[in-house]
Amino acid sequence: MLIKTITKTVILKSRGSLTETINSFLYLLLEKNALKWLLAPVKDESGLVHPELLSREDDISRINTIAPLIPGENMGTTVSLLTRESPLKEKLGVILRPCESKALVELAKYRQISTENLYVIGVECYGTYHVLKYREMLEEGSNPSEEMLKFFLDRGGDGGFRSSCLVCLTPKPPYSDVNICYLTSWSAGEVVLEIKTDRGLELVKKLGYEAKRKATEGLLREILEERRKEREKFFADAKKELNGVDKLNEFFEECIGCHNCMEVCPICFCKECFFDSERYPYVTRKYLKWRLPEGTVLLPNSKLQFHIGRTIHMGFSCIHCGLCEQACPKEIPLYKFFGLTAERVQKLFNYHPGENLDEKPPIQEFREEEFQEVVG
Amino acid sequence: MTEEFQPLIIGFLCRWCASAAADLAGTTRIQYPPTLRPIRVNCSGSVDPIYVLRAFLEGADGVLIGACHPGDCHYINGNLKVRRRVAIIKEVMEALGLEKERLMLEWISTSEAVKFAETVKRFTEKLKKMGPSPLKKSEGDAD
Repeated sequence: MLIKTITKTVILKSRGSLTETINSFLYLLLEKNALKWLLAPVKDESGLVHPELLSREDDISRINTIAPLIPGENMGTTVSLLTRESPLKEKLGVILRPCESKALVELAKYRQISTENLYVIGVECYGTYHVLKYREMLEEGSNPSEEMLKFFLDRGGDGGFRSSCLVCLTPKPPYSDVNICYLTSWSAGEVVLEIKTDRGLELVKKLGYEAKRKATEGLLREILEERRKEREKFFADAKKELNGVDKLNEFFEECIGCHNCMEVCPICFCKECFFDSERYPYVTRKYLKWRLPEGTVLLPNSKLQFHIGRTIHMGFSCIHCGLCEQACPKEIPLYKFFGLTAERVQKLFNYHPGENLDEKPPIQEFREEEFQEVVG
Repeated sequence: MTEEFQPLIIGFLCRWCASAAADLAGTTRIQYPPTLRPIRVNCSGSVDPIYVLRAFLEGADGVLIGACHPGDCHYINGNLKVRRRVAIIKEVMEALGLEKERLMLEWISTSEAVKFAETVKRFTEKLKKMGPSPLKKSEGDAD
């Protein structure tokens, strides 16, 4: 299925709070039987959110699509678990942030997700907080969703978002059937549904909504311009910080090799991984061989092997969700490393991960006349 | 007196071309520097990036991948696959300030024994000028 440019929009008038207004749309999806299931972030008692599979419309009120948080794994991974074995028999709607929708597209390219009967409902996203910061905010009694909206409107400081969010250039999921947009419109008390595909149009028609023409989005474009500059600066700084072996070793000094960054990475889907295998760790025989003439044994650099090896293996499909950084127990700013290397490789192939199901990953196609400069 | 630095090159040679070229170079007694440790692989397309990276981390000063000319691959397109992979590895190495020149991909067909010897000679000279690889953390002999 091709991504089409937005042709139609539906305006939802305020029904109280922002969450209630959005949920009124989700309620209709189940009530009118347009969809059988919804996979959505649900608020729990602690104030955090977690993904849940819902089928009863009474449960809709628990959904919180705007909470600026990805608590655990990328929801693309969750969708993969649901559809990897066999295609869905009944219609499932999944509510995804931009980086989650991008993960879904990449996983679908590697046949880890079947898009049959799968409806992607994208949510506009200005940024998410680190889960620890989010919890801190809750403890202090502030409302992270409100803080995020306030920050969007004021645009001062860095808002405390995760570093990958601060340089993110896709506030709207590029691949989806319907996008729920509220950032620019909510100050006027409206939520805008952008219909992006025929399936999406079919969906809203079933709910009795009237689809109109495209709305304008000036403010968002302005913000993207700013972020583009931020992004360039971020990667230029990262390049300086990670220049050469010594600086890399310093960067990964505290790495404990827990592989959390790999576990949480939506792109690292292999069931069997070299880094989990028996061949990865070094053995005694090797250690003894590495004895220096002075008699000291310098330990081999398995940290560099792991991180550089991982980014070479999957970096071209990195969707810049930055969850590797959130998962790091030693709080190493990992996105600098993975983001920088991934960005470079993606530019090399002019590849845009997560945007289009038909765009083949760089390792899935080859041409006879290319990259002459790397030979010799 | 200090000895001249002798680089260590790990070579992944395709059995259908570069490896046979190395044999031919041997049987025809073409001279080339003893810096290469050849490893025969069934196809250059089977060279995983991790082999390259691990060679560097375990003491190689350079890595040479010998592959068939485009169009000649015994398995249709293994050589084109490894070319893309080399492009990726080199780009990552450059992004991280590592010397991408230490990785070399060369097309060497079965009959190109002279080209094989010339390649090893050229690569050795280049590595001699560059000096020992900073990625190498030990002096052990890679076997």
